[in-house]
Amino acid sequence: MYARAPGIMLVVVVTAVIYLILLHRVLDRLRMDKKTALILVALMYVGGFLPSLPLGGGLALNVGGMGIPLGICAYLVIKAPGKEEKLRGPLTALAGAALVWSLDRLLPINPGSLGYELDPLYLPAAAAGLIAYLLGRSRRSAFIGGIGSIFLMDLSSWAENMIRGFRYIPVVLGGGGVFDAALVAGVVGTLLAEVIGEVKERLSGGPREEK
Amino acid sequence: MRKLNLALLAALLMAACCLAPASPGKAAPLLDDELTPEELKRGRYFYMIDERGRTLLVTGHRLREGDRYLTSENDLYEVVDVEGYLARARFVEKVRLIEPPGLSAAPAGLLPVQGRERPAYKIAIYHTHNAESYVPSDGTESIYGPGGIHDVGLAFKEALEKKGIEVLYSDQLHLPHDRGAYRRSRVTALRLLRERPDAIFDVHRDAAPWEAYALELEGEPVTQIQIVVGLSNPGTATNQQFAYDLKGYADRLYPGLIHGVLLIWGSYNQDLSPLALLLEVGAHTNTKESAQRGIARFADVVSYYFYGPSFLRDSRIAPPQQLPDDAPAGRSSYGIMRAVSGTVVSLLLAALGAAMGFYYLNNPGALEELLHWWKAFPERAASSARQWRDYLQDLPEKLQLARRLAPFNLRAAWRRLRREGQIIPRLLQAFLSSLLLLGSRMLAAAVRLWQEAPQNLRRSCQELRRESRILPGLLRDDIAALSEAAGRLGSRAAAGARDAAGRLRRAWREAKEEGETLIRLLREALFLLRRRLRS
Repeated sequence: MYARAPGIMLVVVVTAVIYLILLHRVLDRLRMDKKTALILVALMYVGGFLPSLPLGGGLALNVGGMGIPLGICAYLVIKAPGKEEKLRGPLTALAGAALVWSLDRLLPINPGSLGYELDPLYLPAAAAGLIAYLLGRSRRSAFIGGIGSIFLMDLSSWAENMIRGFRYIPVVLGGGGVFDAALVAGVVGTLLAEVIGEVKERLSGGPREEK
Repeated sequence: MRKLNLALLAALLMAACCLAPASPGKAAPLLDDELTPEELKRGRYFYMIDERGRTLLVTGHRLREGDRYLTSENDLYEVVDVEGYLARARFVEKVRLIEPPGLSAAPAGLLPVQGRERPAYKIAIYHTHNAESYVPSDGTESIYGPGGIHDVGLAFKEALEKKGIEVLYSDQLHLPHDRGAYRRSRVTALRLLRERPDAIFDVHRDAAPWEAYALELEGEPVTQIQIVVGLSNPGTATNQQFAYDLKGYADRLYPGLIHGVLLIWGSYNQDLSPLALLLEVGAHTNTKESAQRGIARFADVVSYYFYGPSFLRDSRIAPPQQLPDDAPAGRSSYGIMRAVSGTVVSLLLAALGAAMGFYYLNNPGALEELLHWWKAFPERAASSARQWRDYLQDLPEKLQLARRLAPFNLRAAWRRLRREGQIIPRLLQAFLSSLLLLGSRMLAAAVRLWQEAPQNLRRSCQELRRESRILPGLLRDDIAALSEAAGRLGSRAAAGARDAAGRLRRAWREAKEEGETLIRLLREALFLLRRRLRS
């Protein structure tokens, strides 16, 4: 009721639209044509509202939040030129997950406790963007790294709960749909890798060979 | 360069792995945190003091420069210096909060949806840190699983449900109890938001000494409630205004119930909704029962804020008498609407700025063009200004001339209009007659075609049948004629060949004879020549 007040709706809609435009732009930068990117964004948005697919042991998969993004990652890995570039994405995801998992345990539980450190929501994105850039400037790796690291992190928390005997705790992979932390990490990570790369290129005097 | 990058990455990962605890469940974070058991035992909390050294806040949240705090007296302070556990704050301003309307006011006076039927009233509640517990009641400050905070959330739910408000309560666990819990609880918050609640609350408890949150209301011990707003959200202004509004209502209903509004760094999933807030209901040193009583009173505040004073009458807690009965209907939505408009404008400006920055980053030429345009802008602006000035100078004269000429122009225009008006019917008539003629012809042709169609079809079929019948005969005749012609051609060719061969043979014979004659004649000529030479 109150959430449908015009002003509140406007804030929510503007935020969501800006985010969806960013997502579309990121897919567009991943060498997909605009129409395909738009269709994928629409599918992810709609897929987020579908019932999650149970995978057993309390684990479930949301089609829009994790199913389609993982499909996009698989497509990007397959289409990547060269063996090195094919390995770079999964490697970024593994390294990102390891880094974020460690930092989750290492840093204080509340964001902001150390000053301006990153929010837990944006930490995987920053890790993916940074690692993808260090491994070789690659938007593709940043996107795969962002989504893959969240996927692995969710799996690890599910496994930890199972090991501790909490077998009834449901974990939905990508349960937030298109606004889930996985896609936020993919989008922000890609933009971060892109911005760092572009700025560095401009500062160093022009574009080099693009990965 | 590549090797350097890889080395950096390896160092980063190694450092993280070395610093990470080997056993995630048991090991404590290596850095200072409000939840470290050793710190709690030592009573080390974070303090905020003002310029005169008075304690404003004792909390488990680590404070940093730039954090803000609205005290229970509505004084806004900003942290300017942090040294260990001590944060020094300076007074910023006295904030004037919204005043709730009286009890006689119509419920939900300015609510956006007003229909004949009562709309669904929904409030969502969840817990990001499920493990948080209350030491005096639960025996420990943290339980791996649903901790004491779940009972406080359930008390909030029951208090709201007693008023007929639908509560979307999630007891989903976001374990393990680490920094990633906010990331995991995002899924829960999004799932609850799909049900379109009016507001969504993430219920926590703070880490502080018991006296920091202890309060007595109507003879009962209750805990105060701290509202926490994250400052790293795009829509922080709206969340902040919402928190201020709730405090304004609470101050009138239950003075002192709201400990304050803490504005600190972080997202806390408040980016998902402008009406999302984090509540710290007491501290781990308070009893769970007092926290439940505190949150039950906060349910009064929430229901009154969203659905009007009539909801107080259903409450177990009587509404305070000091509320005037003749207060204006409805509540002012100016504050939150101003925050909303500010948020929308800043969001759009930020998105526009980012898009432009990225565009110019990718297109350096465009930036040069923009700079060139900007340099030339004063000259163009001066030129435009001159043109406008000239135009404005001439404007009175032009207007005067137009006024003088207006009657003549009007008359001329009227005459022209009339003249053209006379032509229009004729044009229309001609157009219509042409259209009719064309239409009638097309119709007649179509009718004729339609009428003749069966006959033509029949004829075509008959022709086809007839031709199909005679086709084999015709083919046979053609084949016979063809074979006969071929035979004739063959016999002629053979005869010709024979004739040619006879002629060739004859020619050869004659040539041979002629050659022999020629040779004989040459011999005779040679003989005669030799005899003459001898003689």
